[in-house]
Amino acid sequence: MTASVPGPRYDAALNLLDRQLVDTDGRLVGKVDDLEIAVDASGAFRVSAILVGPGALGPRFGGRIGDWIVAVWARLHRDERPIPRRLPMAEVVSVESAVHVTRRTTKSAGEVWLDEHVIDRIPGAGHDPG
Amino acid sequence: MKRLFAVALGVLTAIGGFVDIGDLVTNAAVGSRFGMSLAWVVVVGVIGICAFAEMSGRVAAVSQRPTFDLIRERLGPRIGFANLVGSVAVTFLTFVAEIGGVALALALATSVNDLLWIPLVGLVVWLVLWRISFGVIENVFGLMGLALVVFAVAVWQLTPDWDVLWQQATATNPPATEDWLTYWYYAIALFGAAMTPYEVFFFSSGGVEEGWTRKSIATMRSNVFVGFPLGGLLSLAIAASAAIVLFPLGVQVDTLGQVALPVVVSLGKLGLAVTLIGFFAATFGAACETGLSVGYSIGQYFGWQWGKYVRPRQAARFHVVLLVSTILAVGVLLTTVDPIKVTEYSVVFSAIALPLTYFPILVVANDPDYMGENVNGRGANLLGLIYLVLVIVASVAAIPLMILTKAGQ
Amino acid sequence: MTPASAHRLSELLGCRVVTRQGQVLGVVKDVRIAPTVAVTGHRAELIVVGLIVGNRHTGAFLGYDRQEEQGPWLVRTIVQRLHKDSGYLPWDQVSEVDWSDGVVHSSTDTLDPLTHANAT
Repeated sequence: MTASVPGPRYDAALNLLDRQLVDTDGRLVGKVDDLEIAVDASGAFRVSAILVGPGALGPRFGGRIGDWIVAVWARLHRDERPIPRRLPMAEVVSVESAVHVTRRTTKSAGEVWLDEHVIDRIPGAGHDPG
Repeated sequence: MKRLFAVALGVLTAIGGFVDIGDLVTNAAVGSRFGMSLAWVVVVGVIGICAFAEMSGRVAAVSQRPTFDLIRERLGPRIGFANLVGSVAVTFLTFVAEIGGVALALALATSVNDLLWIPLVGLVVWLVLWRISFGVIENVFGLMGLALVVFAVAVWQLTPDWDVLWQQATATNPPATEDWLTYWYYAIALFGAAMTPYEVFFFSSGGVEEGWTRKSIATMRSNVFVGFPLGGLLSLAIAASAAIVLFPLGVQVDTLGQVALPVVVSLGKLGLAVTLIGFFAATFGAACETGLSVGYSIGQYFGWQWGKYVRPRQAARFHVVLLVSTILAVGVLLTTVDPIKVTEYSVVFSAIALPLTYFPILVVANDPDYMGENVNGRGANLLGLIYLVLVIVASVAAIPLMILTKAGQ
Repeated sequence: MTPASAHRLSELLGCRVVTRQGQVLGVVKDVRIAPTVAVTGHRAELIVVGLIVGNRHTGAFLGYDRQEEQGPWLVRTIVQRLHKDSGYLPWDQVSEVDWSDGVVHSSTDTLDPLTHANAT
């Protein structure tokens, strides 16, 4: 039994899964679609990363819908054998009503595609909000 | 002084923004067929929307999380997705009805056929959502919507027999020309028109757009507890005007023009002009709200960056959803479907979808991990439970009644 | 860089929890995690310290199982009644996790009572 360390404990499905991810600028990054669990040499199960995107959400749907979501995502993804977007736990700053993470510098592949092919073609896409 | 101004602006905007095409059509239709005998439903509906808007506003202010964000988090991805599909379907249907309503208002004003207005209205709605700031949209259309006070003026001007109206309102039977089944069908329709699900999505997302914090709760409450009931009074005025003028003549309301008829009768051309401004503001404002709500719901389920508080480039998927929704809505309306019919169905389907929205809000508003000391008090929970039962009953009864009454014929 | 031996939380959720005699105690409804002395980035590393086990047919707890007095009373009563057979399995009572079959093997026959994650 590990010694008690001060700090909040969580019930992963209740407190972490499906929570909104917000970066330090206040930008919305995605949802905690799943969590990656790494098995240590000592046999402990460590929460190693947050998984984001259809590749992570699909399997949670289960059944044929889930398989279809993952299949479509894999087909549209650039890589041959894609892995879901992964945020290592080291980037988590705090867990509150949302999970706060360090500043994002990259967008998801889907966002980039939409930016280039749809949004940037409409005038005013870069204007400041009112 | 500045604080007072902000509070007053909020209340006035809430009053003017309360009525949408669903309220316009349903209240007038009910007034023309049932007199004031269904007025109690408006009162029940307004109390309900006040209770749940306050809850969702408080959740947004304390946790900075809007409603749909929480639906997936509480119910999980599968049930949350089913909820998303149902809610978006109903909100989209309402969006179609609102755009159709704008076109009908413009057609009334200009005698140019409403079908020709539809593509233009769609384009302008989308342009407004693309470029105009959230606050400006809210304030402009909210204040313009105050023109609908003309209905209250008309009721006064018609010098009705108040005893007769009171008798109708407190009657225990539907009028002789109607039966119990249609009575309860229209009760549910009126309930759905007052307690639209999109209102809660919009209100809480708007709170995040405007950066509400705990300090904003007091202002939010004044908007809800003063503004919404006064807006509800406007709904009652619309029903009363129809009850006074149309009910005795047995004239049923099928068009937007007939909704305006009592005002024309009592206040003439000037009354009509003001009414048309009110119709335009109510429907255009609500078109913006429902369009945004579709984007909010989908974006908040998936966790995308949404909202008008960032540059469009930073919320690409949100704006694509708005664009696609507007194109689809225009497409539906160009099939020459009657916007009034769409409205009548949208309010009943709103009533069916209400439990999907209200149950998660009630749960989250009670969660101390989220709300800290701002959790629901005894009063809010009592009201919340009563209304949860009411919305479930209305939701379950809606489809059988729709079938039995052939949608209110 | 994905570690070689990595799984997902969703694979654990829904696993059957089975005693040595083969009796099914329930399914994994949630996973309790706690900080350790090791630090990663801004916070302590989180490891699994136990499983919340419940009846497979009832849905989410919505948080009512772990807060004593969360309102409204009607919803709380219904949810708690639906989940009256749930309990907590500390990690040291888990002998093995069979990922491919979706089974967690328990070395005990009874579950501990369920309390809030941060209850003292």
